[in-house]
Amino acid sequence: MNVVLRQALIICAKDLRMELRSREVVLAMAYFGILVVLIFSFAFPVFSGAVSREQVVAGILWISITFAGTLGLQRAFEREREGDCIRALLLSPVPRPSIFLGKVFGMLLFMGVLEAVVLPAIFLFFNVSLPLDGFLVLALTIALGTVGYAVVGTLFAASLLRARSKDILLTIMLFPIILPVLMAGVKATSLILLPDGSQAELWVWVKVLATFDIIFTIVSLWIFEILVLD
Amino acid sequence: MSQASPQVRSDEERPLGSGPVLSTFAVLVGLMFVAAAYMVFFHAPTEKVMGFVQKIFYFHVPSAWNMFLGVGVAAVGSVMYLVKRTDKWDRIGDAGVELAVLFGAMVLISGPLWGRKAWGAFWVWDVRLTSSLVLVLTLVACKMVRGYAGAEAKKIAAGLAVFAVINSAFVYYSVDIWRGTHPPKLVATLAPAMKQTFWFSTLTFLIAFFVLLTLRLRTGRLQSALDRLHLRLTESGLDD
Repeated sequence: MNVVLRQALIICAKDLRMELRSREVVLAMAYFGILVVLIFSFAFPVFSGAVSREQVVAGILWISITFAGTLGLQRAFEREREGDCIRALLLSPVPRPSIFLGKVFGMLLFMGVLEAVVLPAIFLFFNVSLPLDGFLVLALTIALGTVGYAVVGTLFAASLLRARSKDILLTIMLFPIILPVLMAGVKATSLILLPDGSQAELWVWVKVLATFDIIFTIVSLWIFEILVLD
Repeated sequence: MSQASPQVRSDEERPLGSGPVLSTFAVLVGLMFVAAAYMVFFHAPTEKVMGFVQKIFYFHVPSAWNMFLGVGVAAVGSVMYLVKRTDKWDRIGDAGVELAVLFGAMVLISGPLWGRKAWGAFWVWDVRLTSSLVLVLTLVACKMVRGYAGAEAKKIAAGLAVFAVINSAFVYYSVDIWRGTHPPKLVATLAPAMKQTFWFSTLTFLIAFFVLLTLRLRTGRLQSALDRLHLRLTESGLDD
């Protein structure tokens, strides 16, 4: 027993030494912790007064999309790396934007399935009723948010293809950039769910999402060429 | 390596910034900081409503301006690096990111200290607070990418810096729709002694910014010179 413990301590000391040299894990964890606080403070905006049940539901919806999305992003490019499939893609006579957009479309489909599962679950568990005419707007809001998320996420996942510690870095890069999507998504969703939500304000947030999508798609297409090609 | 192209050679042999001028400015800016602190406490009158705590403003606002200056340098350096792919632009982008994080940290520390007195809370989710926080966090992410990502870190960090700058505009706009409590821009309405103190302090911070930028770029150049020497050593087989 003594031996087991002593050896365990030696191994622990080794880990500690490695961490003290690179400070990779602890810094990344602390940083991620701060990000989560930030994300939750926007998903559940207690700072703007009492939070209604509709707002909580909206927050849970967008947080589950945000977190589950990273699983998809990590896997989507891990597959390309295994067997060096990405090299074959890049060598094939296909315009570069097609590769990027193709990966984005794939991500959109995966996330669509995720949302189709999460959305009914949330309405079921939290006993929130969705006004029928609100469904289309909600679908539009989620679609716009998902496009922004998938575009930025795909670009970052692609750029990290050959990088070290890519799993840590993906969330660290993606979450702060995706905050406006989360903010706008949560706000719009709760306005749709609230019986007396302001329609004018709702459309402002939908426009924020659309603008985010347009600008970041353009920037991503430009940066993808540079980041992934050589 | 002996057949190095002319550009590489000239970059290697470029003087590493003029030492005496830099030192002069460094000493000058040190003295100016002492003078600025003196002015803040003894020259500028105490503000009527907020009292003593208002004095944070003289360092808080110049820090914020320096942060944006750093963001500007980071944006230009990163975009140019993505276009030209020369180490010089990468070093400029990196230096900008670091300075923005440094002054951003000063903003994020001095702001809440003031807010505790003025708003009764260290933090409120105001436009500028939130967008500054997100901006600084994204730039910290740039530094982490640089540290951890390995061979392609420079490209990824530059790409992320571009995203960070565009994103901060989105965050600003989004939180602006949401709410706002930050005091309005009030420099023009200050009493004369306050104004003098403020502008002197701003000038001090501005010089400090450029001294730090020059120093950082120098360190960067030395670093890559060292890398090149090490590479040459390895290639010639003299290294282990």
